[in-house]
Amino acid sequence: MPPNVSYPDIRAEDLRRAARNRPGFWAASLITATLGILAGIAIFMGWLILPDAWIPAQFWPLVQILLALTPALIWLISFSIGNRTGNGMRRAVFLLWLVTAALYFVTVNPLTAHVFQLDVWLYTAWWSELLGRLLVIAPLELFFIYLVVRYGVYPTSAFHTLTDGAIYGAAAGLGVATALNLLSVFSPGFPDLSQGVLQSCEQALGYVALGALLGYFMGQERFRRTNTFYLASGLLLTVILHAMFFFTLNVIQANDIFLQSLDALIFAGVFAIILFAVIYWLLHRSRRAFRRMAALLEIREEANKPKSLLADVMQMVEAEQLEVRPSPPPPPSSPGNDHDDEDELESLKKSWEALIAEQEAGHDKL
Amino acid sequence: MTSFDEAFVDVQAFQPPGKWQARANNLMVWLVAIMLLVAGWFFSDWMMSQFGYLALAQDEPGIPYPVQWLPQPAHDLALQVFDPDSASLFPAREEVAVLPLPDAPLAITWPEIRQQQLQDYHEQERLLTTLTDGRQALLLTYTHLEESDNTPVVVMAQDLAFVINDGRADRLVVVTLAADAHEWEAMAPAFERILQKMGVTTP
Repeated sequence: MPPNVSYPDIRAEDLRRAARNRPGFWAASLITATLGILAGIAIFMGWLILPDAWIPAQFWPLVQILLALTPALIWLISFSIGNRTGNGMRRAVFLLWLVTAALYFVTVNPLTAHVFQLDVWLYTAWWSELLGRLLVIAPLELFFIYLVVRYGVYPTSAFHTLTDGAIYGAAAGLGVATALNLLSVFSPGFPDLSQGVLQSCEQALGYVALGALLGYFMGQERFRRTNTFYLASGLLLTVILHAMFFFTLNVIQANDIFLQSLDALIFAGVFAIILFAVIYWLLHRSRRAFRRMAALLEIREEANKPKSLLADVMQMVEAEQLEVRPSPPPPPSSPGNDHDDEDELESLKKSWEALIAEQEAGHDKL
Repeated sequence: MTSFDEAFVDVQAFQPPGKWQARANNLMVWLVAIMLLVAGWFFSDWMMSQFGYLALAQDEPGIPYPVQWLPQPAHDLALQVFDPDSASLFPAREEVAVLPLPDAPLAITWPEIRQQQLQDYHEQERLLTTLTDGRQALLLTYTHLEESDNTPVVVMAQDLAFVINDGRADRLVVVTLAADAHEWEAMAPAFERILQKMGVTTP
């Protein structure tokens, strides 16, 4: 049965607005992934030598902070340059990144360390690591990202396109990566600068892609009617990918299968690029469907628009279906012509009514 | 009349969710996340409790050891278990010895005894700590050299020494957690769990 329904709540301009693309986001993600991989290759090939010994001791904390922040800053700066249209959005993205990183230290980190005591049992066996990631780390971190986006920007006007979900998810993911990088660079087991750069890039690539995937589901749920399980399934899928990605990353880091330290970074880069490509394709399909629907709505609105008589007459004149003649001069009025005047008025009235009836009949046919 | 294109479009799908629908979606996410985390908590609890206990005497604390580790009887030890996954010539292990109580304070005598017993002994750290029931214990961290299949291996170890009463006399119990120095970092979580089970707290 055709959906011959009235849908006053859906407006074509809302759909067109929701379907708008954000090229800056895709460019920023691609630039971050490419620069991360290039930095890794440069370090591996010896083109980029990071002089640990030359850095004075008092500058080390500064260098470590910079190391932890760099991937996120690259993404944020390239996003800001690529997305010049929305100042509000740039501010929201930056704030979201900052708030997520800050909140991570007081929420997720104490939970993993003191409630779940991951340090004690996570690396006991390969299966304990996999299950620990699947049941504790991934749900905690992704649910945290979800909460920050859901209660931070989701209900606001800053969230107004399908792509915005992925953008804010990526920003929150980067916040988590930054917090973890800061914890890592200040831990006693911190390796040298080169290893630090590689680890920092791997974390950032993983979290930015996973955050974007979760955000994609949130964007879909925000702008279209979805199944009640849709968003929860999205979270579950992202949790599984998170656990598998970081588990595999750890296995690669521990074994150095092909190119020693570069293996893990290449894996993280490829994972991020593939995930972004999938998100882009899914969003592209959604945006196309929204635009098509907007076009249908516009056609329908046009067809339902009430036509004015004058507009019809003008159209007929333009189409030369109606001959326009200069009106004859009025006959000289005389007292004996009163009866004729009444007749003429009556006849004009009749022809006017006939014309109106004809127009209405035409509308009904349409 | 509905156009051909429109007949195949689910118009309602393009309508944003209503207030209650959005709340239901959000609730589902909370439910899934909480279910996963509850499962995670049970798993973490289970992982923390994967221990067997060696009972030394009535009313004295049992000594925890990982149940997956392989026991190997030794005449001078109350317990000796090895990590079956260890790749080293000197597999990671936990040993429990029950010895006569020395006359001098434990913090001084036990490191001296170790220095006499072990080859190339180097003390790393000496800490006084307490166990779950509040009794005093000595936590000694050190390295030494061990010959294994005629190959010298640098071993890193921790001794937890404390006093128990077996019903007849006070005894010194020494729980030794040892591993190849190269494997120490990998084994640290397992050793930490054992110490945590015994309630070791350091100042």
